[in-house]
Amino acid sequence: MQCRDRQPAPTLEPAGPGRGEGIGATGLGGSAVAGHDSDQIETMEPVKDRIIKVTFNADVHASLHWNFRPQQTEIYVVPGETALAFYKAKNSTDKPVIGISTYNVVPFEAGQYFNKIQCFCFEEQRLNPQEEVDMPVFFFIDPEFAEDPRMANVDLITLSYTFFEAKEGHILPLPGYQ
Amino acid sequence: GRAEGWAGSRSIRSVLAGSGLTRRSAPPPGSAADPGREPRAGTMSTAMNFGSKSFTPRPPDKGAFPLDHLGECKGFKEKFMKCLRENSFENALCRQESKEYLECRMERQLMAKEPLEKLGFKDLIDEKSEAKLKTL
Repeated sequence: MQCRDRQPAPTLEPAGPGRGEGIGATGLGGSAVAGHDSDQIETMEPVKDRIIKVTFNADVHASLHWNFRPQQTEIYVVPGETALAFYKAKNSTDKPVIGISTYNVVPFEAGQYFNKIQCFCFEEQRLNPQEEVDMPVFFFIDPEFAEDPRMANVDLITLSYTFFEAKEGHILPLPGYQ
Repeated sequence: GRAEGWAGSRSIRSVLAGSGLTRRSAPPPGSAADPGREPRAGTMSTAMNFGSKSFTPRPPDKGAFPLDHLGECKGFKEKFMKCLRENSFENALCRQESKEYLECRMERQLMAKEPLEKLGFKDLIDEKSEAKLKTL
């Protein structure tokens, strides 16, 4: 099940009643379909002797008045084991605001092994005035990380999310955002 | 026109240059007018380092979580965070709590229902959890 097939293409229309509101209005609405990645998750085994520290950064674009931060500074994971982490976002303005986020992983070479099963990124997220929400990231590091000699000395991966405001007329170079 | 995803760093540069999204008076880092400048923290180029080897983000496999506007699963989140704090932030020791958080979401249509083994919890599955999921 791939993101591209399932979610509606985000639009640049101004926020209005009924759009982006409510539970389930964005993201998944239907049932899950087993795919290649689900099979991998089901069969992968944790590589228990490769402990990796994952640290979390949060950033907002200058014009987005949200308080956005990770709820943990770090988490220790091993390749092949799914992990959960949380960010938190608050719309500190008196108007609804729609944000959209992207992420970055360093070191660059480790990014290919960083698999996000589900998160809050690449899709518009609307927060009402003064609303605060938890934003989970559910991920795993591919077990093949442990077999890549280039990764032998990598024991720290940093995940950074950046939120932008999704406004009409603005173009955001995000994958799949049209 | 709208940017077509990640197709070509040049088109993204021109998007950034013309977007007006950066407030600084200097040219946006990584733009055509400023190709070699180091990106500054807090600007859009945090995630996009043009002109150098850079990381390309991918959308999440199963899409985005709907927001839990009503905080229905907040209690499970708190339980998970407490577990992390009590266990030196070791994920392996808090997998039961993370499973319960995701089960909460699935029970409230805040996440597509999935068999737990497809979320990496095959070792934590018991008959009770499976039976619960089947009734959702």
